[in-house]
Amino acid sequence: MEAVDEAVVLEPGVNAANEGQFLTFMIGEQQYGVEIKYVTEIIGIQNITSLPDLPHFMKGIINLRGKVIPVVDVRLRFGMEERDYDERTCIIVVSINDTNVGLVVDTVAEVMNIPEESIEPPPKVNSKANGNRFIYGLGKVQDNVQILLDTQKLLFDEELEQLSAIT
Amino acid sequence: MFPFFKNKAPTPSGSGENKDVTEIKLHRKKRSYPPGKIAVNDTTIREELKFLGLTERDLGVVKAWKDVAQENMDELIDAFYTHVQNFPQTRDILHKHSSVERQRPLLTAYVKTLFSGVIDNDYLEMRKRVGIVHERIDLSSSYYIAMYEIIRSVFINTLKEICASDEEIQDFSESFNRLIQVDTALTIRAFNTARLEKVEAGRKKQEKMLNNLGDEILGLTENARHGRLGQRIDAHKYEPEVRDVLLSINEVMDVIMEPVNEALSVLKEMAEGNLDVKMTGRYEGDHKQLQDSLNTTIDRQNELLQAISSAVKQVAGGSSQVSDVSQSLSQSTTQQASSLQEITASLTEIGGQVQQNADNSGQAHDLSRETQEKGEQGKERMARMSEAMDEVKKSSDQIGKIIKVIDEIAFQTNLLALNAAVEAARAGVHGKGFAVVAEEVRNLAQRSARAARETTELIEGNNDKVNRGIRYAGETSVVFNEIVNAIDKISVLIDEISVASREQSIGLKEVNAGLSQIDRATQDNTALSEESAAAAEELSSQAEELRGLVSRFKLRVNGMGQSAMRENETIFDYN
Repeated sequence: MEAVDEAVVLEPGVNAANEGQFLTFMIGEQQYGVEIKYVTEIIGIQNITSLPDLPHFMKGIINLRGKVIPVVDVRLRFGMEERDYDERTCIIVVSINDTNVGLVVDTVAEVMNIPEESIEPPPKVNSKANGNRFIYGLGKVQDNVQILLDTQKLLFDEELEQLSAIT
Repeated sequence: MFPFFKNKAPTPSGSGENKDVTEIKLHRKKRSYPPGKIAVNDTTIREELKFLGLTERDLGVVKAWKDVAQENMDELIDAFYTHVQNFPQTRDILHKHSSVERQRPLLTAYVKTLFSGVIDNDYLEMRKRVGIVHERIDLSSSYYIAMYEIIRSVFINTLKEICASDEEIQDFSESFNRLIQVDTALTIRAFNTARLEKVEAGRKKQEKMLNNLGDEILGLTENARHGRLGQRIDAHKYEPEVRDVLLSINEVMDVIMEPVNEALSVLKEMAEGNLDVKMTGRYEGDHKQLQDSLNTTIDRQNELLQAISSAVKQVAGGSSQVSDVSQSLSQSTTQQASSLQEITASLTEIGGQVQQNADNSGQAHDLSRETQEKGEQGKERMARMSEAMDEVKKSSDQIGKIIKVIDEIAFQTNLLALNAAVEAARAGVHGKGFAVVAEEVRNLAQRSARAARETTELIEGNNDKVNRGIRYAGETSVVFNEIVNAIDKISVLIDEISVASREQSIGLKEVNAGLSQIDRATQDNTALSEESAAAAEELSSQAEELRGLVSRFKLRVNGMGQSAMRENETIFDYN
């Protein structure tokens, strides 16, 4: 909490084009981050309507103020164990190529500045599996490491097409 | 009459002439008869000869043919023995007592005397001897008659062969007949006389035998009458016939006396105190009864004396024990008396203690009542405390709900602040001030959430403590219940102690009374135990005397049971 408190202090004079700003969230004990420029809004968990014949990580759709938005469970997308939703579960609505997608996460943490020099590329291991394809870099904030996600790659193209088809 | 005469060849005459028989008869002169002689001293025999018609002339007539007889003697004797051998009876007698060879000379001599022409004392003596011998060998008189007849027949045949005249044959035949009759009579007389003497001797012997037998039996009876039953007849000095009878009588006496003698020796042993005896002979009938009766008597005496021995031993042991017991009883009663004094003193002390007990138990009773009341109060207070705890818990639950609402608000506020921050970030430079405000709001929301979380933790801690308090109160309540119940039981026990103390008080009085009686009884006991000791001494000496009396008897060991045997052995060793 202390670390978070310090991390969220926004330094004045940081680029106005919101470069280096990330919204961080929790999956289990690990903190992940997405570039804030993709984030539309954060909402609490909603009633999700499931649809037939979708990939298993696609939980369904929600109605957000009259707009139908598909919802992806990040845990399932990462091949992690599924967990029941609770009052802390949030949906981060991101906009990718003018498509809005809801990402279900355990909970959101904060908005954080991570300078370019503090970001390292992901490790070159496990090339066969595509486990690292979502990772944009590893952000070092004090002693912690934020896994910064490449929102573009968070979904496959074909999957995105499916999403477009849905909306 | 005799077959062999027919086959006989004509025998030449004594002169040896071989002339025709008729011619000889014609040419021979008639034989002159020499005088015979009867020279017998015994007048009785002389009279008998006269009675039988034998004259001295007859003797001369026979003697006239003496030469012819001597020439034909072998022929005469052979004819006779041939005849004798033809009959089994006569032949057996002859062979039994003699033989032809031995008799032949005697018979020859005998026949010669017939032709001697003299009857004198020697002649008579010879006939008498023959009669006696024939009686001895039991030869029938027909033997003589046959002999004389054979000699007469053969001789007359001989006379005919030598051509004696009919007159001469007639003379010879008549004279020889009379001589033969005399001879036969003499021999038979001797035979009969000998037989009579023999019979008389036998009769006398028998008479003597019977007399001896009678005398011996009378003597035996006389001895028996005077109890001299050991006397026996000396049978060996008598003839075998009597000896057997006398030996049988001796045997009868022996058989009668054997068990009597054995019984006598057994009774002698018994008289000397030896009862380890019995009649062992094999007897039958009346003797068996005697034996059984005597043996049974001995058995009974053995049993009786063994029983007495056993009893004496027991009496001796018993009296010794009584003596010991009396002495220890005397000591005990002395100890008893001093113990009684101690007991009396102790009882007085106990009496005081019992009274003290009664008082204490009364106080304890009151105390337990008070304790019980306080226990009840404690129980009640604990119940009230439990209720208060329950209320505290309810309040905590309500506070928890409120805190949850606050936490929810803080979460929503945080979301709003994040959205505002996102919005501000997207606004870039223009959203910078807004971003600061959003951050402050977010901080406040997070502090609210933290405070709520801490409060929740505190309330949860409170709830745990309250729950524990409730549990402790319940347990304490149970303990109070147990205390109350225990005090109930204590009260009951104290009541019982009170009752028991009163009863002890009463009992002590009775014990005191009893002790007085025991004291008197102890004094009596002292006197009695001394008397008892004296009596036991007396009994012991009498048992010893009786043991001495019984030990004079030697009792039977065999055939008794083991235990009886041991008793028998020890009975004379004790003391």
